[in-house]
Amino acid sequence: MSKLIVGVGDMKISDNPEDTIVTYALGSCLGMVIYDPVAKVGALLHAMLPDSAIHNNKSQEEFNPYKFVNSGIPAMFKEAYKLGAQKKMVTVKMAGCSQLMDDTGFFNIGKRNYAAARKILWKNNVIVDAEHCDKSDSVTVTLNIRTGETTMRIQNVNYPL
Amino acid sequence: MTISEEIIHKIEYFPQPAGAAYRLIGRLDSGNTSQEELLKLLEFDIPATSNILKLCNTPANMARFGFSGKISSIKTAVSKVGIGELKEMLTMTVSTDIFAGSSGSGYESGIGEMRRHSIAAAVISRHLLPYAPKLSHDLFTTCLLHDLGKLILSEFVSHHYADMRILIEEKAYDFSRAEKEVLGMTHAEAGARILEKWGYPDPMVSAVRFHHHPQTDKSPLTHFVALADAIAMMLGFTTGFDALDYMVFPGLYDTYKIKEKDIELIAMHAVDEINNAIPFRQADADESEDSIPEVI
Repeated sequence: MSKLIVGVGDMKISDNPEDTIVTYALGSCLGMVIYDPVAKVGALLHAMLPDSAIHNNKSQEEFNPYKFVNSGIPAMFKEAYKLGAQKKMVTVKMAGCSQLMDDTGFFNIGKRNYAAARKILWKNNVIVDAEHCDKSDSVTVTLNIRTGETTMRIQNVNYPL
Repeated sequence: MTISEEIIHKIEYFPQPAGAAYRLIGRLDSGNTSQEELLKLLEFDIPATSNILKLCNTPANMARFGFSGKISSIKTAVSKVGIGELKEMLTMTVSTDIFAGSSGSGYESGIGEMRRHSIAAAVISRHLLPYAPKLSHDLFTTCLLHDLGKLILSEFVSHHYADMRILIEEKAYDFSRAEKEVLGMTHAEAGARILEKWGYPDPMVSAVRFHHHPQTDKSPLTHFVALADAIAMMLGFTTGFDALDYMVFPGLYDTYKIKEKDIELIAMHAVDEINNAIPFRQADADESEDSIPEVI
């Protein structure tokens, strides 16, 4: 069994039933799991910011679509289709997008990540099957490729997502 | 003994880090230490010496300092590297030493989370320097040690977490206020008292003391430690149970002309450096938790 670890601004995908995919401590980042139970293809995205427009062409850094919700979600779906996943079969689950205690919105990247994710999914007629977002938790998410089971770990306790 | 009395007792007997590194940091700040004195203090401190040489000889630092070849003696390192950079390297040594192996109780839900959070805050702080250039190396070093107090409070948080959680969820306390209410002291205060005991400079002590209430302190060092800490938490470099249960004070940053977009840009640039310095959760694989991360 191999464990594929998704870092911050990263995505991992698999069609190997021996794999689990995990991402740790989502914070205000978006964690999105997609899984096609027929093709047995699953992916997990850990995106940190809502909009890739902040990365301009003058930046010396290579563009990483998975850092951003608006580019990471479409890129993840495209990779899943390459492995045989079908949009009509895919389940979608979200976690993270947590908030610090800030009433002014200055630090509300979590809320904006959530809104960006909802917007893309809505535009593409994709329904969210489960979510645990907009809290103050730091969530670890695991996806089992064989079963599609998605688990959250919050303060050392496991919950199904 | 009350809980706060027990905490004070633990602070009094908190072990000093091995070697001279932690003492040197305070002395370097005074500006009164000559290279000869510094060398005398370092020459028999094998861990500090080997860690400084290791950090000097990373590819990133060799490029940064313009070294044509590897540095093989502490005398050469001290002469070529500035006092500020040396202080950062020594603090990295101290931070690694004191957080080594901490895990599993109180705040943390996994090995190495406190260390990872501290390094993340320190890396982020470098990207904040354009907004507060006078802070320079002090900001990096203070960020590495800002949550030191959690090592003291950890066992007490573990035992009294249920009571703290009730205050957070039912009375909208932040974690720091819940610490004060239930335990009699915050981790920020505990950390500040340790640094006072070690003779660290007042600005660093103050910044650690007020890093969750920066609005009560006028020092830019305090404000920027608080901001680096907040950004590290937002990115998920948290220390477990307290997660994001902290107040932030955005109005403070108008003074420095920092906007929301600036925070996003800082996060975007810093996260790759943090991931390179401490590969996230490689502790599950083969990384030694006691190794010095190659932070430039």
